Amino acid sequence: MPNDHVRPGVSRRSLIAGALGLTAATAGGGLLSACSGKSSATGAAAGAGEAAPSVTLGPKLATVQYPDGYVGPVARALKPITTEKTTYKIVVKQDVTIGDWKTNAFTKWLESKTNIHIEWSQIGGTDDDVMTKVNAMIAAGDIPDAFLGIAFTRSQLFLYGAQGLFTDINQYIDGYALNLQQAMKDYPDTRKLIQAPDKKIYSFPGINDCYHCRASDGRAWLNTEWIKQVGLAMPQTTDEFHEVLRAFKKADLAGNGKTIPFAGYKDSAIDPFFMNPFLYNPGEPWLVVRDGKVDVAFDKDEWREGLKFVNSLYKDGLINRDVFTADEDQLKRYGNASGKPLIGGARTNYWGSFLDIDQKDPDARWRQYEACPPLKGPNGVQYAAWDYTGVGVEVAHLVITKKCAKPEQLVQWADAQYELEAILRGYGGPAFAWAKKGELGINGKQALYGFDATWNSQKNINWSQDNPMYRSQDFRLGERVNPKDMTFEKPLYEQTRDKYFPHKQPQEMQFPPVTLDQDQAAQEAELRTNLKGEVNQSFAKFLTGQLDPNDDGAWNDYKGRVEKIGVKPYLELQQAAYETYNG
Amino acid sequence: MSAAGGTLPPDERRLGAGAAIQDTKSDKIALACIYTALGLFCLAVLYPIVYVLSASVSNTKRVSAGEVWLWPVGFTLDAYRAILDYKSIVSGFGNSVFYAVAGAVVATILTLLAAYPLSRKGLPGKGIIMAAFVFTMMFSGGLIPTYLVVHDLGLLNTRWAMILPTALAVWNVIITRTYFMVTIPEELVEAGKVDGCSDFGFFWRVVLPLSKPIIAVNLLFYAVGSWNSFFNALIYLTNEHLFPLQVILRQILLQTKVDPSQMADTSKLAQMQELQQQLKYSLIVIGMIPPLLVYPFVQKHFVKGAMVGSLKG
Amino acid sequence: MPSAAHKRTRVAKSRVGLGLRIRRNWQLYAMLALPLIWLAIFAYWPMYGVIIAFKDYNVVSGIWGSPWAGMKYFERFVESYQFWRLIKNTVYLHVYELVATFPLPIILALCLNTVRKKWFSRTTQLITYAPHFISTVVVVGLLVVLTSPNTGVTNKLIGLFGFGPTDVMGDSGMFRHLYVWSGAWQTMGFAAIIYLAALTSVPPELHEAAIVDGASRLRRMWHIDLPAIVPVAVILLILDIGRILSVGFEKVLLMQNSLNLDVAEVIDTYVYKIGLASSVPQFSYATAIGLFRSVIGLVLLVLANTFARRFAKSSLW
Repeated sequence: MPNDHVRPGVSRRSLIAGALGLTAATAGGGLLSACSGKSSATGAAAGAGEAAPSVTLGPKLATVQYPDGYVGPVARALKPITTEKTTYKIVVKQDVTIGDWKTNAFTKWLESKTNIHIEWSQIGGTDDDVMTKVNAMIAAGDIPDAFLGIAFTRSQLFLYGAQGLFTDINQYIDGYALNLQQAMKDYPDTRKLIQAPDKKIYSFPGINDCYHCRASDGRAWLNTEWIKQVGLAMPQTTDEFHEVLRAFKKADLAGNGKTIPFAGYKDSAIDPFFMNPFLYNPGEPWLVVRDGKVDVAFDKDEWREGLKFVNSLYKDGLINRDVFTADEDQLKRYGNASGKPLIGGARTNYWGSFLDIDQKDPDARWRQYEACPPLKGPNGVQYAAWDYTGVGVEVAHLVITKKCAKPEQLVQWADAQYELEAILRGYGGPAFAWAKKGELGINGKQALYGFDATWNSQKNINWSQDNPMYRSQDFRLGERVNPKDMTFEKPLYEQTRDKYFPHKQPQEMQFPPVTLDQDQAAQEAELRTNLKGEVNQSFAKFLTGQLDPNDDGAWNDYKGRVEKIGVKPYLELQQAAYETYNG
Repeated sequence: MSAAGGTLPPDERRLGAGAAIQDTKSDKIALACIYTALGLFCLAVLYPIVYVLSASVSNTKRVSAGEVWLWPVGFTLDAYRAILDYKSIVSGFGNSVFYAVAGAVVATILTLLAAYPLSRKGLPGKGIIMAAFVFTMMFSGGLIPTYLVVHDLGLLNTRWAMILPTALAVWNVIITRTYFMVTIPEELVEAGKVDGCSDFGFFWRVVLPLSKPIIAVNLLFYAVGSWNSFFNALIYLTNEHLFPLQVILRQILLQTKVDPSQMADTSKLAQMQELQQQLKYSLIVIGMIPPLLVYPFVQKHFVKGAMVGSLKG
Repeated sequence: MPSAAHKRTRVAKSRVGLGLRIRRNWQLYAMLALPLIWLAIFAYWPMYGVIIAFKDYNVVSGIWGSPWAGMKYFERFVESYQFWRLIKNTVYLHVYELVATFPLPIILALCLNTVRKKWFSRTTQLITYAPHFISTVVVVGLLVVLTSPNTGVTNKLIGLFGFGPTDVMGDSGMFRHLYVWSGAWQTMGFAAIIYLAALTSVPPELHEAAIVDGASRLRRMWHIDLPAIVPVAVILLILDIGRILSVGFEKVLLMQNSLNLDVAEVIDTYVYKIGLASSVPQFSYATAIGLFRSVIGLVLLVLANTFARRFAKSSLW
């Protein structure tokens, strides 16, 4: 959901609101203005949910500088939700980057503002472990008032929601979640992305319009110093790319024959980068939509052309031999090698996956690497697999259960976390500062806020992005750029904008995140596991030449295998889910 | 039990006998081979240990540049200092020690109580009881039903949940029983009966003193098992102050192994990576120290002829 | 009918005998009480949960409330595209592991036992025991470092002999070797402990007598030490055979990559991918596969035990 579409309407409103400053509540729009006077007068009026069915937002903070045309969360004074301190029980994951939920700085701040006290239950381990424990808790009827930051899938939310375990928050949004309501207006696709097939909403979303994340699966990097040294330019086509890598190898810029012209590693698929010059390929599970019909990319003739291309690169020794086996640590050893880097380029989401990012050093090695644009294939195909729907709106950041006695209070508590100051404290910490007039943000416009450079080395200060938040694009790009501490955010944004955004595929080609029912999920899991295994393995074998992509027999065998695993039932299943999604 | 032999302690006695007769040439060759093979194997095993140790005291940047091969590069204790910043790691260490010790004691008692009767010939129903034990090695109710039982017993989120559900390992019962069958011959039992020993008395006064090696092994295996385990903590505990070290270790080592494209945000990914780089090796070293310290105490009991000596004493 | 009368008296007699024997051994039963109570509560009580395999289980409806599914999940597994491959891979890997790594701790223990220098034996024990505590993630990470085709030591070594660099981790022919031998290297010392304990039951007089008779060191190892270990070894072997369809799940998962998946996908990793990593956890499917595995394991265990009882005179029950 590129928010270019929504900008005009809202921006005007925000602009007016920003100009009005303290006078506040009118900014929320016509719907809210009726109640505004009353609530700001009493201050703590919201508490009595029964008496007043709906609440109002607090006054806007005056000190905040919003850039022109700003769309995003707004800083307001938070109001206590209840007059008497009320306790709710919430299950979270234990996380060393958060510290202790009980004594965490943001926990304390939020409690002091909302008067809601939380009794935390902390689950340890990895995300998989956490889900195992949560399922056991549900099975035992050991249910808290809410789950925070537990990664339920859309299918799980629907399954448990439809069985009455999770509360449908749709009924409360209009009355009690005004910040979220605003966010859903700013990002009109939100409702479609968070609602279950029964049109109910079982979780608070995390809205995080991470611009560069939308291109991360297909992004690759090349060393510009090396390109200069071999006297070439940043490649634009598959042929030029091949030529540049060949030149890297020939010049042996790492020395001692150690040069790895281009590297990948096992945890980050390389096919999205290499296939998009031949056909649109979003990566696993390789689903695309053509004229409303769901299809897969991996059995098309264009896919085979892509295989020939990567095979030719590998045959020339231009891709690291351990592209499917190296782990991230190993890749970093290549990138961080003392003296000179060993790798000329890499297919990773960002620099940090193949070398250490030193933000303070303006000449740090990572700054030599620049995004390689999506390549143009021999037939003129050139896509940047752009993720319109998978990134930006995540479900399940907060789920309220049937155990919760007063859901409207937790709804307000959740909604408070979509407020600007709460967001800054929630994911950064208390060391934020409002930007002064004239300070610039990542996007070059007036900055909104900045962080003390050391914020992410402190402990126990934030909730490390586990909670629901509303981080619009303008918000993310409104972070003040500190010349002494140049984070990777700015170059990552700019290179994505300049190189990938222009080549994005039309949105209707992307297969959106769908919701499956329990039986579909069972079949889907099995088919996906088998297809994924076969496609990845064959891709690897074609690339390394264990299978020859030029051999019709090998290609037809491969097509036969995926057919046998069940491409057809897989597509039928996804087609049904896709149609449900489109309502 | 015919306890022949001199009055020397068994070990010296054996050494004395060995030294009295010259090694033959083939013996010498065999010994040399054994020393060499063991030495080489030790080196092979030492390498990763030295690597982990070195990496834990090296500059993290240089570790990630692949400069550490054997010895530390850029010596620093920062990684250990950093551990102290994380309260959950420090308390986790203490909890792990407690669970290991308490768990090992409870489990070893249960194991000995089960293994001894089952080692006795002609105990009626022995076969069925053994089969009932072995059956549970193959079939279990699975995660959720077991959780429900622990829940119904009210053990959730208590230290008991870390000790009771896995208090007995059938594997250990079987091994201990086999040990008893070999070392406690039926004649000894009969002799005890003649002397008027009850089963309790015989177990307490004869069997236990004869079984120091297997008791030591049981304590060690249970303690190590508990030290290395994380699953019970994940499933049964929701209070951070009760978590053992392995839960935190697991999170730090494995959480960044997930698909980076599924990570909510690059900055969070970067933060996790940094944490992992910093703490990975020092945490592993910390996790290795207690079991290594304990081992010599267990080893003390692996002495030949310990049985005969204690029987005479 | 004299025979029937006979039978009756014999039955009566043995019943009296049995009753008496039970009474005489009451203290032994009393000792067994606590372990049996534990077994009943923590092992047998949850066992009703296997019916999850025959239901369309979901956690909200609960075990009793979920609808019956019959044999659906068993059929789905047996008919699945990967079924035979999974069985083959799992059995191969486990049998290889068993054959290769089962004798090693025995040999190690025998050697350690023979060594006369105490400090050497103790140090070796301590060192070989230590890798047990290095987490699997790090062990696999070290494998990657050592075998890297660009910077790894192994490739430098084979480079000396004129062989080009290869990516060992990505060679599906190498997967089993890597898995098994790195496992041996990690667990051998720890596994030897049990044999070291068993060796303490050897009376020193036996060795003394053999020395007097002029038996060589190796002969004594073979004829005196080894027989002391055999009962434990046979039992461990039987138990291992019963686990034929399970292998170390976490390590296999970490060692998997696109190139070796055809040999590296085993039942446990498959269950994990379908059961847990699915968009709705598939408890019923996972339980069904687990049950399938248990039944096969039990059959093999019983067979192995019968075999051992006949030929090695030792038995689990």
